[in-house]
Amino acid sequence: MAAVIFWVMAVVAVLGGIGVVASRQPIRSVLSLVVVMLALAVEFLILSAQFLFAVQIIVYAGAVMVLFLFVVALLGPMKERRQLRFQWGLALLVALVFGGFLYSMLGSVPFRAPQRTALSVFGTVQDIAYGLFTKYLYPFELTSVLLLVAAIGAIYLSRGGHGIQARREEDDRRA
Amino acid sequence: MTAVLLASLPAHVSYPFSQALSDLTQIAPIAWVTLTLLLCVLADLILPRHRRGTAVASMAVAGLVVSLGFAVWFWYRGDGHGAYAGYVTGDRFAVFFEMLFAVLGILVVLVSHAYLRRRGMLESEFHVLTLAGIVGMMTLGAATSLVTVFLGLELLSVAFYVTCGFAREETTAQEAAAKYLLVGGFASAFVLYGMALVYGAAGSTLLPVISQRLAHAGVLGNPLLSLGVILLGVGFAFKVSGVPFHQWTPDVYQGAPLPVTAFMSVGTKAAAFAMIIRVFVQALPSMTVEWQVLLAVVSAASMIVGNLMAIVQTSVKRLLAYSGIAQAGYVLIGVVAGGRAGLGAVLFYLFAYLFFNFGAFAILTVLVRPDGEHDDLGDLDGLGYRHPVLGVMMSIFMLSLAGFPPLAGFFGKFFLFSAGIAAGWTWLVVIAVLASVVSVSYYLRVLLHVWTPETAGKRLFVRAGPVAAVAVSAVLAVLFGIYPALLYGAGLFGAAPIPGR
Repeated sequence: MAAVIFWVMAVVAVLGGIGVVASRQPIRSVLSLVVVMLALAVEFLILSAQFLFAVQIIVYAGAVMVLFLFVVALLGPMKERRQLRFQWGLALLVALVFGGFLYSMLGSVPFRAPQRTALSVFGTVQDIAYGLFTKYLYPFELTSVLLLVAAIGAIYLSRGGHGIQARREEDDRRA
Repeated sequence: MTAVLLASLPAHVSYPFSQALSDLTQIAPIAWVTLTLLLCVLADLILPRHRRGTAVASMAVAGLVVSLGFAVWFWYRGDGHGAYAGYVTGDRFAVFFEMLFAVLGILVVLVSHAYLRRRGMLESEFHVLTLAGIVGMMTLGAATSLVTVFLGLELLSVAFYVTCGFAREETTAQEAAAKYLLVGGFASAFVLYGMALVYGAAGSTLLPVISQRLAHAGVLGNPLLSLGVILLGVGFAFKVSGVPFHQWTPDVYQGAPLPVTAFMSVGTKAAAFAMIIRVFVQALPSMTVEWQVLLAVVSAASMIVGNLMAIVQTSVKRLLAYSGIAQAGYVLIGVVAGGRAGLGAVLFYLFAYLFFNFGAFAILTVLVRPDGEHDDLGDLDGLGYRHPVLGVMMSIFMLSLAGFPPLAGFFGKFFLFSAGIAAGWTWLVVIAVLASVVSVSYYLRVLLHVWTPETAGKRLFVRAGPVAAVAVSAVLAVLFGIYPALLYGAGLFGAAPIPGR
């Protein structure tokens, strides 16, 4: 049963991925991405990581994708410029070379089943929390700095130009 | 209920305080800059508006000085080791780059403080982003896991995406920021895909573990790894702006504010080389032949294209951008040659390059006026007569870039080229020497403009901060030329933690 669900969801995820790239309209790309996220969430559930399943749906499929949808909807439907003809040829060539590489890779890689872990602990909130605050503490904290800096940068770039002018004038008056 | 859950947890999760303290000590220089960054964000909220800029700038400099102090102290103790479950290390290689980036950060803040005031831009945000860039660069030097390498890379990239477009009203700045964002995202994607494949082949993200596992695996002809190395190499070439992945460099350098260009030209390059050495030399010694050929081709192409394109430039910023591409080619020789001599030469060159390349960009800030930057070669006319000290220092930087003895640039090239010959890469060194001969022409062209007799030029904008930064750079560029053993010895010590071949 789990294997059937796995394969169904894997196919759905890959189709969603193709949809993200192949859709002509941005809004369809975003919706396809939601499909990918939901399929991945189900895969997490099959691995019995309930917490990740919930987080995946709430944060990615919920919050992040809704933001994407807002942005795309606000920007309005954009007309995509027609690609140059030689771009198609080049893209096809690169895709073929890359596909060949992937094919030969898959032929030579030994696959093995996931290791059995204690399912009562794996993927629980405690397990993830202990991982984040012991083994992965450094990358975890580094990620938080990265997000903070990205937020500061986004705020700086998106604040209106007249705000800066007003601040400059105020500085001049005080100085 | 809680007791049951806790009891079922594995035993390895205990993390005693002493361990936490020891881990934190290993990354003290990085942690201190991060703390300074957070304090600067807070200070920006609390302080009255007209004091913010200067206060945050002084805080940033103070924090970087303390961080430099930590790094120097650890350098002399020399007992750094892995921390945080092997994700980061405090070895001499890491500490070498922490010292380099702390010094760079201090110089950047000194120059940008005056520059931002002159252009009437917001200050504290800029310094916070500068600190973030420094944290990212230091992280790259200290990273011993693919995860931390990628996080450091992203941290420094995000900081530069924003600072490149810091002059938001200017279209050139917007173009620079957009271009760097797209190219940077592209490069990061390459690096990430390469990392994923390497992780798939080795089953670990820790660099020493990857090296160990692949050494016994008989990996010759493993397409998974080959593709991983090619993708990583392409991403790294983007970051050091090696040919043919260099097209973004001149446009971004020209559009970004001068202090950012100066910071990026030195910092991103040094950080990218730290990343290349960590990932290729430390983690993938089993794939040496593959990445050596890849880097040697990029190196040769960069030296040829960079030097030829620099000849025809009329903007000093673009000229220095192409010169930077060529310089990246020289430094790659040291990585390709490898061994302690090669890597020591790389570290020497990166540290010396910091001073003479940063100094050259920093001098251009005296030509800045509130309406924008003036960086055409013609704008430099008569600089040597209007301000002889700056003229002499510009001459030092240009001659050092060209590789004239007895300046730091000469010994940098000498160490790189001799390591290349010793490792048997004669054809590469022949190209390098020919390319440096060509490069003399455009460096001297800059000096020709600096020493054109013309006294009635535009007013110069000379402030204490930038001049101090330029003077320190000039003095060190000469000092490391007269007494290169000082820095070369440090470079050899810094390269020691990377296992040799």
